[in-house]
Amino acid sequence: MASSSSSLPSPSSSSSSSSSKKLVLRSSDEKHFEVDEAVALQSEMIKQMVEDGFGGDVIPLLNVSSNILSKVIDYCKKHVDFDSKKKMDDRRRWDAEYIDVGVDELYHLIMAANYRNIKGLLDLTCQKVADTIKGKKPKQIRIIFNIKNDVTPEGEQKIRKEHSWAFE
Amino acid sequence: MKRAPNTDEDPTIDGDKTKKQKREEEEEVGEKVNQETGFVHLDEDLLFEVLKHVDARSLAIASCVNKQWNKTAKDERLWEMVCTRHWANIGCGNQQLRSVVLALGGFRRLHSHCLWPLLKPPPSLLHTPSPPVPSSSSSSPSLSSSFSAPIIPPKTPVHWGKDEVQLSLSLLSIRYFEKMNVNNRGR
Repeated sequence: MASSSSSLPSPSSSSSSSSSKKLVLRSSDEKHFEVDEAVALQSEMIKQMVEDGFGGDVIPLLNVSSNILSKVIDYCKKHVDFDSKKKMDDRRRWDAEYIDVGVDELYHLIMAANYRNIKGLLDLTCQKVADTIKGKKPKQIRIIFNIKNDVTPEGEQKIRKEHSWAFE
Repeated sequence: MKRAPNTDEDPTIDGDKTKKQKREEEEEVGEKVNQETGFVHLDEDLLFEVLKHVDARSLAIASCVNKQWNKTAKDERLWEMVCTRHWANIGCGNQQLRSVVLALGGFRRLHSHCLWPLLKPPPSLLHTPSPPVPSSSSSSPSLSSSFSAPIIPPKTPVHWGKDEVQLSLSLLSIRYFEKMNVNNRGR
């Protein structure tokens, strides 16, 4: 519990939730993160676990590494803040900066958001991928995400023909 | 991997070689890991989540990326979202619309044959004033063009009303029945 590597400042959440319950999350590489319950409950998965009575113990997150987990906690903290203030512009600006990451990190964030069931973060990450795809050709998409083309040239020709309008 | 010993120094040489090979292998694996940006492992559900956020053209392009993307990008639910995104008022229930469109060939077809020609940017609209209805049937094409010509707005509409939706559905059903006729005549 001592090795809380998330030395993230919690600017204003302390006022509203200093007395609130804390939860301890453990990443796949055995680092512990102590967070306010309200922050952790942004994750539907953790919410379910707490409802099922696992809240008192350390909650293990086997698929999430510490650096991704601290980034996810970042998101949850900020959005607990945002929820109380309802400033849409601030939220949008912060989200845009937050999600300005490399492809690899983006992938891990999607996986973490999906695994922990954090709807807002899943939407944000998927939107980022969608924005990245926009205006690209299939070949460029393959290069960006390092996807192997397993369709035969004839097959690809056929698919392209079906969607010829998109290539105009 | 194993080599016949040639010299009496072979244990060290062999060791060096295997070390070197191992290092090379490790480097190769490392490179692969570096290159593999995880998205290869994105499962269909998550790819579906991603594609829920793209526009029509990106969705069509996505279907050309590879087999998995093709399969996911064909999902009628995604194309339904693409179609209904433009519609402010459908004029009927979602469930009702879905069953009609699916029976007539699906939302992907509805989009590429009936919505896209109307949503296209104006310059290309000038070239093809009516939606392409490639058929020899005499009455239907003139019917569709006489209906669609006055309705086409000068700029791409963001939201369609009831009339536009019904027009596109009519076009879809005309195509459907025309194809049926052609097939019957052929036999």
